[in-house]
Amino acid sequence: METKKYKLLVIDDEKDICKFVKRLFSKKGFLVYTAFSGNQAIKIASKIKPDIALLDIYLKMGLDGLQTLKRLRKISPQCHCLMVTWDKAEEKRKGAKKLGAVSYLTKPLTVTQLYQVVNRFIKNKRKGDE
Amino acid sequence: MPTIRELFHKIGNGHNKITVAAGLTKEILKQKTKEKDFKELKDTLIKKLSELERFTIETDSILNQLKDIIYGIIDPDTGKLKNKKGE
Repeated sequence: METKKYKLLVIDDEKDICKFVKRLFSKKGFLVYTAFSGNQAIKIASKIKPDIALLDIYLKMGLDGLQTLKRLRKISPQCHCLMVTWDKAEEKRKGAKKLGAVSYLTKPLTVTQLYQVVNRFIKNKRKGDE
Repeated sequence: MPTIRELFHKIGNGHNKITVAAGLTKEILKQKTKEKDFKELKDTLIKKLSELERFTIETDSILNQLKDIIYGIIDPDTGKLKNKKGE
């Protein structure tokens, strides 16, 4: 997976997941930032303007996933937002799509699945740049 | 005291950690152990980690089935039993 330095923001209150994903994508040449709450994510996003965000819909503290998505899209409209949840509820998926999420991933996540969605983003981005 | 919803999410998050950690470990093994002597061991480890991922996904699927049954009987946020209409 050859990449230019895309900025990936991982938002999950499970710190281990942030750490694992950071390790995984840093090795692939991404600039990876992590946030453990929606509020923290908004602060970071305002500074870095991420290209991709991997956002857990179920955040315990402060803003929830959908509220975070809404604000994130305002700050960084070009951001490719990937929602992650354990919940298969269709309502939330629709809500997230309406707010601009491009993909909806169901936990438990696999590395193969993560690579696939990120590769799709890179391909689309390259097509757009051409 | 955590709610039933929180407990299910906690277990689901645990499964998520296992699958992501197993995948990450496989990636590290692929990159770090290039010596021929370790090839067999590395292949065994990668195979076992893939099994761990697969079994965790299956376990999570059972957890989801349990969740659907329990949420149908008990309100996951209040812990109160629902009536026959599911209210």
